[in-house]
Amino acid sequence: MSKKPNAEVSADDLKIIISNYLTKRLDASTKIAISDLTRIAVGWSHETWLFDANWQDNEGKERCLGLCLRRDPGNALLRETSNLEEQFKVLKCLEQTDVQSPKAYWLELEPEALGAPALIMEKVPGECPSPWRKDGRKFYNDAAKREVLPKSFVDALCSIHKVDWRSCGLAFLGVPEMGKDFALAEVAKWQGLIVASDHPGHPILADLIGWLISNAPETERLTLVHGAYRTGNVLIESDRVSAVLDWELQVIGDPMYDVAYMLTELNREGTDLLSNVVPRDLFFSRYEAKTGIEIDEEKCRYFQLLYAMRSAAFWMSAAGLYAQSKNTDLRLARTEWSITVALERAAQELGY
Amino acid sequence: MTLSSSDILQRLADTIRNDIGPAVSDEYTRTQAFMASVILSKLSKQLELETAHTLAEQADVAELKLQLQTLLNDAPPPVQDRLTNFLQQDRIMPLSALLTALHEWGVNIPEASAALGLIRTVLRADIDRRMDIAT
Repeated sequence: MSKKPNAEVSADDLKIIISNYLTKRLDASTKIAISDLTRIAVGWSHETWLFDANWQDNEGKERCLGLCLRRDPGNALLRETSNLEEQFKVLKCLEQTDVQSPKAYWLELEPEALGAPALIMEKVPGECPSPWRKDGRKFYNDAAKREVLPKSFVDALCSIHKVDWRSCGLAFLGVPEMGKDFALAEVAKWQGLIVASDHPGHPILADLIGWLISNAPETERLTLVHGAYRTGNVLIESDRVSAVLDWELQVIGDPMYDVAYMLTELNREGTDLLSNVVPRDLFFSRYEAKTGIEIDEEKCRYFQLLYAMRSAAFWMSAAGLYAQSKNTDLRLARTEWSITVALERAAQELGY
Repeated sequence: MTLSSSDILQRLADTIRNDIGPAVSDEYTRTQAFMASVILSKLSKQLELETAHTLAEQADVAELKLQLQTLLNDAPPPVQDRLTNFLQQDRIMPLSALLTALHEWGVNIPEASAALGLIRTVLRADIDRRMDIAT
């Protein structure tokens, strides 16, 4: 079994913990057996484990429920900006909407129940090929040729932007004022992460932040914004999106924030396909037709610069965790040089 | 024959990547070995280029100081304060505070815009040097 220095329990111990927990929660007549427990090796924020819970119900019938456990180890990336309670509430709100998302079952904020603060949600069928790997890029390229996934991928984004966020209870995320409030709030949020990282930064970052504050665009329409909508953050089954994942950065804000993330070159390698899978023309025509929202490319350019700042903030936070000895994972130490790459891109986008 | 510190680090990186990493069966530890190799390689490059990069940065900063002193002679106090701080240093880091002050002053003001242009030339050179190591 793999050694993971920041995990508080081994997979074998975790099986027992989950079994005990679910036996109480599901009011099962027999002890719940946990099978196929696997830690997903993606994401640096929360630990994610998939497993099946098997038991006999009160009528003696065999039951099996596929579940996903997300645990907060307390020292991971984005610890300042992402929390399990908010994820749980967002998933609960989304259950009332057309957005394909996992059903949220239980939230435990105290570590006693599951060894760490954790939430348990539905394991949705589907696969999530990594767009950063060669085989993943081939998967998306092949799917693009079949022409089903590109449409489904755009439609899933449209469903997010069409959510009636007030009526489903998502206003708890915070509602910016119309005007520059949303953009300035995002800049301030990522500035906060930079300060918390205790990293010295670089003057390009000061230039970028100054530019972002001076050029903040007006937001005229507020929608639910996923914040990281790309391939790799959705599950796919039979060439269709079966669930949108990674509800960690969502906000009520300008839909162009997500559109900019679709358009950015950061999310595609060696292809013109947006997010490795969607032809640009298809995205523009289908998105605008389905949402009634016109894509504002100038605003998207602004948000792409904001993403450059966000990337730098992520990497500074990661490098800071290692520097402060809060996390010993060398992948975090490696991000020291990713900051340079993010800032070089920002300089280019600023025209130098 | 003596190896330079940079060469030793690169050899360590190669050994970890080619000999030690592949012999590790545990997936997490193997990934850590690979990352250690990547980091050592970058540190090796950084060590190799450090003197040249520092000299280049100091030369750029010296020239920029002369240009900004003349250009920002009549700038408002917050800019002047940050400029004074920058003039006392020989590295680019104090430019962060000066850039913030310039943006607050308003980069549509001709002097601020010209100063920004000069600073960005120096920052471009600096990030290019850093990219030699980062990529």
